[in-house]
Amino acid sequence: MSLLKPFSKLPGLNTANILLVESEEQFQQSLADALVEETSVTVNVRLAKSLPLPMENDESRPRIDLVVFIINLTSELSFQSAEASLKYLDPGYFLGKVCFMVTNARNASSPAERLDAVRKLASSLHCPLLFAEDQTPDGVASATERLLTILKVAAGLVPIATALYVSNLTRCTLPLDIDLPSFD
Amino acid sequence: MSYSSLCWIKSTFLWCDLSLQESSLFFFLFCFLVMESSDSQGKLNHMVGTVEPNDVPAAEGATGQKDTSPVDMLRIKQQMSNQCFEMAVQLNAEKNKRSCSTSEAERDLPEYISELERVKTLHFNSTLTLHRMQMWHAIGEKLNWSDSEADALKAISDRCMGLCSHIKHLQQESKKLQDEITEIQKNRLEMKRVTHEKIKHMEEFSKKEYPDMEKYKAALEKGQANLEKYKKMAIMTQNVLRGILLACKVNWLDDPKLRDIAMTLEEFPISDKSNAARSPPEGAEEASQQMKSAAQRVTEEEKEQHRGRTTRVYKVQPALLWIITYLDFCSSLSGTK
Repeated sequence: MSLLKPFSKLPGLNTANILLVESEEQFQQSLADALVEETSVTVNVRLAKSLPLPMENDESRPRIDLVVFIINLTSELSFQSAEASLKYLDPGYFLGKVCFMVTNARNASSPAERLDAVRKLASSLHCPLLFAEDQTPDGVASATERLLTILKVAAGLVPIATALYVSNLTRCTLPLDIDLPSFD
Repeated sequence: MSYSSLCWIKSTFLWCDLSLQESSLFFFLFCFLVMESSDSQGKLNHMVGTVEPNDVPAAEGATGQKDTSPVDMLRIKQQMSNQCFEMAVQLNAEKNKRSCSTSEAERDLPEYISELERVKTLHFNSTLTLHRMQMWHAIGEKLNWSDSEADALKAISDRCMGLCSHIKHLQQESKKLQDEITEIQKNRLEMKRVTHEKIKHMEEFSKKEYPDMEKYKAALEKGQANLEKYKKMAIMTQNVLRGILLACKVNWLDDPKLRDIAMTLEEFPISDKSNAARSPPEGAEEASQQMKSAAQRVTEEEKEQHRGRTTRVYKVQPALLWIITYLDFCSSLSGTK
């Protein structure tokens, strides 16, 4: 079975594992570099172009705490590949261990329908939707911060909150002119 | 301790429902928790022995102490308990599956969430209170021992008390000042409101008077026209009198009554065209025009009135006129003497 399961492996002590899935493989790199610099926890970042993940690594792969789908709004392929990868995730992940990150939302060449489609997807799956700016180091830093907060909760490092509980607060809602909840 | 034992019991019940891998995982985690809370090493070894095939690397991690500080240990323990809790939730979800539509679920969800939040905040607040009580109890005990540390504690607590009373004092002052400010602002607002009202009233009144204003304006204009007319008449008669005095070479200096009259003749603003040109600049165009026309009319009327007599009318400035007459008179006087 090629499904990625949330609870099929032992969790690491004082570590958090995050999987970044992006079909273009460029924002992943800068984000990964920034994520690894976190000092209080050991953050292991794994990169993938799409799911399913190759079977060869299955044994050595640690338990993934958070799966982030990075969608570039200027390319249709990115969205489609993310959608296709969703099938290979165990449903247990969707209770707070999946996050969508969108780049280039302000770009004029990205059609509004795609953003609406992403929003619909995120709200139907009850997952948070983050917007990131990948060109400047400031944008990468702020995206990293937000990802880290979600990651820490998903890895169980925050004493009071569990991923499921927090997902109820951060889930994307379809806007009837409301802003997306930002997780700070 | 009680939490872990409860989970232990739960896990034994759920053993049959789980896949082997996940249940072994549970086993290991609960062992870890048990190890932390009670120091029964024998039990641990027994447990580790039974689940050995799956957890070789993890067991090493469990028995070997990687982190040194107790804070880290506590943190890791928290993490583990959190993860256990998540997995227990997953298991419960599997067990308690019931079919209902998504919309029903969506409806019920916010209630559950708010209930959960309420309970969580309650729990958190109670924990805080408990910690506070424990801390104060510990401090109290320490103070009772009266050793060097207790003295330091006493000094610190005295300082804290001093600072707190200072803070209270400052807060009271700031509150008083804030009250004063609010009072002044209220007054200012009141003033503004009253001013606005008055302005509105004024506007109303100024607008209302409009139909009557026409009549008043007409009446005013008529009055002003009358005034002008009479003024011109007065000026004209004054000119006439002056002309008479000059022409007849009357000795106005000696007679006091005549002198008064003659002196007052100086005070009118116009006598002829040239004077009108020299009139003060603040006079409007109309005024100067009026004066010019008035002057013209006066001189014409003068001419008319004096046609009967064979007198000459002096068309120069009044001051000059008077100087000339005076000199003339003096010369005549000296001539006669």
